[in-house]
Amino acid sequence: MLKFVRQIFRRRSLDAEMREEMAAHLEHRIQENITAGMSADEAKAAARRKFGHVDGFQEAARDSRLGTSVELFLRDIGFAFRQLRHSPVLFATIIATLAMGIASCTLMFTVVDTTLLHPIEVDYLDRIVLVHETRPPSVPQAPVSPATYIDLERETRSFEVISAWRGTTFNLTTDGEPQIVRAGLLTEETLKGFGNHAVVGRDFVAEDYQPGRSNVVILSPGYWQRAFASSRDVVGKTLRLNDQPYTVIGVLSPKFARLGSDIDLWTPLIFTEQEKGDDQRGIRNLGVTAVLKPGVSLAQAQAELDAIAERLSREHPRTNQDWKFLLRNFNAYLNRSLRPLVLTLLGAVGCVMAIACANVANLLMARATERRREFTIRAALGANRGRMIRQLLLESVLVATLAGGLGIALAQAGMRVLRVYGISAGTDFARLAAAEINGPVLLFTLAFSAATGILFGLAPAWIASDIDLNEALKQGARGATETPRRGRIRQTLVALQVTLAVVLLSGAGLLTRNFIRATQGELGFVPDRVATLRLSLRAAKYNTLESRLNFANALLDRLESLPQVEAASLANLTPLQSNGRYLISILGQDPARDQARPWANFNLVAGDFFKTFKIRLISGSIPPPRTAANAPISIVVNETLAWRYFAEGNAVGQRLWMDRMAPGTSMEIIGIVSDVQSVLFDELPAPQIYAPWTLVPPGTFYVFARTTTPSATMSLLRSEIRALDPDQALETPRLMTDLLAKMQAPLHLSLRLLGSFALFALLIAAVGIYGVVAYSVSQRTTEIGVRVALGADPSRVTWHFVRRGLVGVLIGLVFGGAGAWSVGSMLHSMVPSDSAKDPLPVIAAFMIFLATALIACFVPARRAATVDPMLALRSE
Amino acid sequence: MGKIDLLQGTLDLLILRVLSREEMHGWGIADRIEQISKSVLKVGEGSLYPALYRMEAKGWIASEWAQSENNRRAKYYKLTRAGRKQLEAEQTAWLQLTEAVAAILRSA
Repeated sequence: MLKFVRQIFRRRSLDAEMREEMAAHLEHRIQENITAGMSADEAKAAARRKFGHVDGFQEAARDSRLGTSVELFLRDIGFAFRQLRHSPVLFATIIATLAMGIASCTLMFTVVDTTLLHPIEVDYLDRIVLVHETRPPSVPQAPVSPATYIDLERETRSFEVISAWRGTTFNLTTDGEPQIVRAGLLTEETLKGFGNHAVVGRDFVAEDYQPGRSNVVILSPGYWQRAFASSRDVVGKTLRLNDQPYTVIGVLSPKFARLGSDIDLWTPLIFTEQEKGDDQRGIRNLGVTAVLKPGVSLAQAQAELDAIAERLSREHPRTNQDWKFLLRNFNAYLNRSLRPLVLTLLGAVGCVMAIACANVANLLMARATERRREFTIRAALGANRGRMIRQLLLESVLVATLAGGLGIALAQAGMRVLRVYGISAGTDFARLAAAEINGPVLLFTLAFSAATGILFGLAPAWIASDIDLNEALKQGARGATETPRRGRIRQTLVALQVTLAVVLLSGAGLLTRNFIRATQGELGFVPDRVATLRLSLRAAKYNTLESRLNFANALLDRLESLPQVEAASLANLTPLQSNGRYLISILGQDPARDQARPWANFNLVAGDFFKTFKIRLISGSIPPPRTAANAPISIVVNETLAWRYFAEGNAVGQRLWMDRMAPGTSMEIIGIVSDVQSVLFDELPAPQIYAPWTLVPPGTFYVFARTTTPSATMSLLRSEIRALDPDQALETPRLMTDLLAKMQAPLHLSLRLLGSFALFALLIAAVGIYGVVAYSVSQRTTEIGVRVALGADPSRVTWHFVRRGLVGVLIGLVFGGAGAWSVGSMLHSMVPSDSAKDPLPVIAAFMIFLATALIACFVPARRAATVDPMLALRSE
Repeated sequence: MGKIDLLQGTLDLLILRVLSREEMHGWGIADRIEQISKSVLKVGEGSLYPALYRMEAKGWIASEWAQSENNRRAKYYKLTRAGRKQLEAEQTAWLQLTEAVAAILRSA
C-alpha cells in the first residue's frame, strides 16, 4: 500500500530511476561489444540498435508499474489540457457552440414550463377541471347557476374540492379619486383547493364566510404592486368598496397570478337566499372549478355529472330541460391560445440543439482525420491502444465538462434576464418572475451535448481502428487523407445542419410576419393614438335607461367639441375583446332543432366608433352617431357574420333579433364592416354585431378618443368625465396600443426568442459549413498548388471547390425547403390565418441560406487558389 | 538457429528461476538467460523491463539500488517469499505442460 502511494508521489524520481537503469544497461552492452572486438563507435551503434527505442518501451514499462491508474489519469488530464491549448480556436468554437445550445434550450424549456406546462405550481394540476353548463347544440358553454352549484357541491363524489367564483367590479373610494377595481368573489373552498397562497398576511378562513364577517379582501400581486407599491404593511388597511369598509387581510402569491388575469382583489362569495332559489336557477353566472379525486378519470366524473344533469332536467324543466354539464381540463383550457406558439418554440429548441451537435460533430471529425497521423505514429512506437482511447475519452469528457459548465453559467445569466421580463410582462408570464432553471431539462441538454462531444471526440479512435501502419505513414507526407466514407458523413452532417437551419429560419420568418401584421393594423382596426378608459355609472344615480343615455350623449358632446379630438365613441367592449356567444335568430331562416343556431358577439356602440378605430365599411352605411331613443334599431355586422349566415354575404336589408329581445322586435342590418382579427391570430374572427347605444344603454362601458396627442388625452378624458359628474368612479385611462401590446406579449416574447434562435442557428450552421469546406480545401492545398502551377486558372479552381462544397448545402436546402413547407402547413392548421400559407418567409430563408453558404464556400476556396503555388506545394 | 519467441508467462518463469539463485540487476538477468540457454533465448530489453516491473508490482520480486561491479549505481532485483512460491507453482505447471506435449509428440 505504501508503495502505491509512494509510486504516485515520486513519479518523477521513479522515471529518473528507470532512465538510469536503462542507461546503465546500455553502457553494459557497449562494453560487451567493445570486448567482442568492435570499435567504440560501432559498439555504441550496435548496442543502441539492439537496445531498441527507449522511449517506445518506456511507456509500456511505465504502464506495468504500480499505481498506474491514478497516475495515468492525472497525466492524461494534463495531456488533454495541452491538446486543448494547441487548437484553441477549434475548441473554443466547440465549447461555445455546445454551451449556447445548452443554455438556450434550457431557458426555452423553462419558459415553456412556467408559462404553459405548469402555470400554477400545484401537484395536482392535471386534476383541475372546469365545469360549465351546456345545452347542445345551441349553448355550447355557459356558467353555472348558484342553485345548481350548491347541488353539485352536495351531491358529487368525484371531486376532492369544488368551488365557484364570479367576477364583478367595485367602486373604490378610499383616498383620492373614486376608482373602479375588478374583484373576484370566491366560495369557501376555492383557495383551499389550490393550497395556501398568501405571500403576505393570511388566506381566507371559515370565519370570513360568516355573514357580517365577510368584508375582507385578498389583493392580487399585480394590484398590490400598482396600488400599494408592494408595501408589506398593507395588511390591516381598510378599503372602502361600494361604500362599505373592507379589510385587507393578505396578498396572493404570484404563483397563482394566472388564476384570474385582470382581477385586482378577491373577496368571499356568499349566496343570498334569493340567489339560491330554484326560480333563479336559470341565472348562470358562476365559474366552477373542481379537483378530481386521485384515481378518478374525467370520464367517470362526467358520467356522474350526467346523471345529476338528468335529474335536474326532470325536476326543474323550466330552467334545466336538456341542460347538461361540460367538464374540461383546466390546463388545456388555459393554454389553448398559446399552444401553437409553444409547440413551435419546442420544435425550434430541438432544431437548435441538433444543429449545434451536428456542427460539433463535424468539427471533431475534421480534427480526428488530422490526428490520424499522430495516432499512427504512436501506435508504431508501441503505445497501448486502450490507453490512447482512454486519453481521447478524457479529452472529450473535458471538453464536454467545460461546455457544460459554461452552458450552466449562461443559463443562469439568461434566467436573470427572463426574471426581470417576467416582472414587467403581463400575468401570462408572472410566474417567470420567480422561476428557477428547470433541472431535468438542464440535465438532458447537458447529457445530450456530452454524448455528442464524447461520441465524436472518440472519432480518431474509430478512424484509427482501420490503420494500416505502412499505408498511413506513407500518406503521412501529405497529411491525413479523406476517405470517401468520411467525406460523405461530413456532407451529410452539413446537409442536416442546413435543413434544420432553413426550417428554423422559415418558421421564425412566418411568425415574424404574423407579428408584423398584427402590429401594423392588419388587425382590422387601428389602435394608434386612441386612449381609453372604462367607467361604471353609479347604479344609485343612473338607475334609468334614460339617465344613462343622457350621460352618454352629454359625454360624447363634450369630447367631440374638443379641438384635438378627431373621433370619440363609447362601446361595451374594446375591439380587442369578445363577449361570448349570443344566440340570434334571422328573419326568414329557421334552423332545425338539432342544428347549431347562429350566434354572434355583441357590441353596443355610440358615437363614431368605426371612425375612431378606422374600421372599414364594406357595404351599406353606418348609423349616425346619435340615435333617438325610440328610433328603429339599425345594426352593423362584420364580414364574417354576413358571409356565414347570408347567401353571397348579402346581409344589408336583412333583419335579425336576439333571444333576449322582446318578441316581435327585430333589428335591421344596414351596413357591413371589415373583420377585426383575433389579437393573437389564433382564431378566425367571430361574427360580430354592432348595435346602437339606445338598444340597452349599458352602465359599464369604455370611452374611446382618438386624438393628436394621446398621452395628454388620458387626463383629458378624466377631466371631462369629472366635469360631467365629479363623483363618478373610473378606471385608469390607458392607450389602446399599450393594451394591445400587453395582450400580444406572449407572441412578442416567443418572437424574440424564436428570432434569436434562428439567427443563432444560421450562425453556427454557417460556421459549420465554412469549417467543413475550409478543411477539405486545406486538405487539397497541394493539389490546388499543383494545378495552378500547371497553369490552371485560379478562378476556375475556386469554382471547382465552391461547387464541391455546395453539394451538401444544396441537398440540405432541398430537404430544408420540404421541411419548411410541412412546418408551414402544420402552423397553418394550428394558426388558421392567411399568413401561415405565405411562401415568402420560406423563400427568404432559402435565399439567405444559399447566400451564406456561397460565401462560406467561396472564401476558403478563393484563398487556396490565390496562394503562391510554391507555398502550397511545400505546405505538407 | 532462428530466434525463438518467448511467451510472456515463460519469461516470468525464467526470471524467477534466475533470481532464485542470486540477486541481480536487469542486464545481468538477460545475460544469464542468454548464457545458460546457449544463446537460444535472447531477451530484449523491451520485454525484460516491463516484465520486471510487472512482477515487482505483483510482489514476486523486490528491488533496491546498490553499486554494481563496474562502480555504477544499479537496481538489483531479488526474489520475495511470494515469488518463491510462484516459482514453484510455475515450474510445476511448466513441467506438466511439456510432458504432456512430449507425450503427444511421441505417440503416433
